[in-house]
Amino acid sequence: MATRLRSIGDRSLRSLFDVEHGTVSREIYTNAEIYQMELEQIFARCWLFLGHESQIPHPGDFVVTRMGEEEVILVRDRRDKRLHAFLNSCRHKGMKVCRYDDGNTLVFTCPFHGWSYDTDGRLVGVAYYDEAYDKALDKSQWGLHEVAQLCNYYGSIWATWDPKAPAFEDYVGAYGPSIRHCLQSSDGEDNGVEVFNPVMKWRLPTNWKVAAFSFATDATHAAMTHRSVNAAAIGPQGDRDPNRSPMRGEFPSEDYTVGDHQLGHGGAYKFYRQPGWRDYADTWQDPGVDEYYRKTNEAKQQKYGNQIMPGNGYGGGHFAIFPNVVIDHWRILPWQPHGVGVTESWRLFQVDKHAPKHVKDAQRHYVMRYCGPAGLTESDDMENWNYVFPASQGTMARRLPYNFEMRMGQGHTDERVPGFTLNFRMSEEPARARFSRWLAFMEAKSWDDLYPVNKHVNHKLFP
Amino acid sequence: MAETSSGSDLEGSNAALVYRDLPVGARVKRRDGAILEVTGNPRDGAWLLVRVVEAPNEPSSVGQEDMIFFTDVEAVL
Repeated sequence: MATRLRSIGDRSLRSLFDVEHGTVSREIYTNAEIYQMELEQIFARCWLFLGHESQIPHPGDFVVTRMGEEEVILVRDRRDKRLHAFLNSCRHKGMKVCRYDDGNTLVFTCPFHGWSYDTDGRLVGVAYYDEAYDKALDKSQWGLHEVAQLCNYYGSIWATWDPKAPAFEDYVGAYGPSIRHCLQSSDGEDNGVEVFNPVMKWRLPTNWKVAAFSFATDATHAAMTHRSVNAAAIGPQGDRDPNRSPMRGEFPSEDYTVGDHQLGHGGAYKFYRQPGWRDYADTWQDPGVDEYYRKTNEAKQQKYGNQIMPGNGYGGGHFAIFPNVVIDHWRILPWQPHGVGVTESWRLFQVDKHAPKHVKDAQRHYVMRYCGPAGLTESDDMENWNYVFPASQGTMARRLPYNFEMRMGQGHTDERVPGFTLNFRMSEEPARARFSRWLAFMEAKSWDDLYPVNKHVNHKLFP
Repeated sequence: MAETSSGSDLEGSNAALVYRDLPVGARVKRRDGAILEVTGNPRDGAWLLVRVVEAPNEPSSVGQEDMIFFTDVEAVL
């Protein structure tokens, strides 16, 4: 793969990083040629988040999701109920075979010439099969293009186009248990959540990495960016009483920011110091909601009564899976590339699948107030993300690097989480880890050059 | 002119609606004379999922599931 680009003065991609000073060239965010390389080198090879199985519970259910810029149909087969993911492009002449965001179907029929595909991807209907093709077309060779690998990880659905990519569990490494944990219900049951439908989707005039890389953990932004929300004392629960807060019931823990420079994941991380789980602190204004969560919290306390909870449990903060997803215990946040300066932002909000309606309603109202395109805090974030891109792509602005030096070189390793570099609670270790992995993917010819398929390589870019 | 048993026009401007609304269990006659029972309707006005009930030209296909495009339907029975 050519890593010297004419559009940046015949420089190499590696030269865009100043590892001594912890800076990153803005070209990485604003250069269209680099963006096109990302689609090929990163999004065509990485494991990508597609959705949650609760979006498609019944045979024939489907949602249209994304892998990079391309639409993908995630569908539950109408016969054997298995999950499939197909490129939303007719094999005949390329038209979308599905133009709905979600639904239930028997087949996907192309509106152009009528080629029709079963929910397992087989081409089952060709108009004028006798007259036009004399029955000679081999339908078995013209099914929808399916992902190379698909993984249902505790209800979250992931896929890759690359058959040589490692298994998903190896791809996420030490963060696997964290993902599992975030997908547990509030009483600690595996695969215990569903997501609210429809999924929130909106577009931002910025590069996908502006949000996806900084959201991995950006502890220093909140005091300034969210100052107006904080000043107005409009907490997520719509309450001014500081004693009614989910954070009040904190549990003894060690708090870090972490980055896995070989895998590219990172974010906030907690190690719990003692067995058990915290007491419930009343949080909700809505009648009956605290009662529900108090009961599920007791169930969780029983479950973890004699053992130390896995790291990064509830309240442990969000963390990022390379390249473009952040997960925490109540939401999944993919940022889909849509052009060098356009990003489609998605929000999937989790809620206990067995929660009563009044709890689900309260949770849904809460997440809408807090997050998403009209959410109080996310509006603040969007204001920044939207203006970063235009303020960075000018002739002069592109010459100036971004600063990612916070706590650089001050991390350490810990055998409890192999591969992680642990750093202070406020550091840019997660972002630096993402750049390590970003460059590895951009330079690699194939998965043979990438960890963990190749365990001999070291992608760590910054000290 | 292709027709339904009730006389609906299968080639006129409302033909797509006839196909769209055919219920599971309805029977159609294919142009080669085969009788097909509708097993599923994607309601796109063009395709039907069917099971072969009678097939004078290909008796071995009886019982098989197939799809039929509206241009191959001679009549709705």
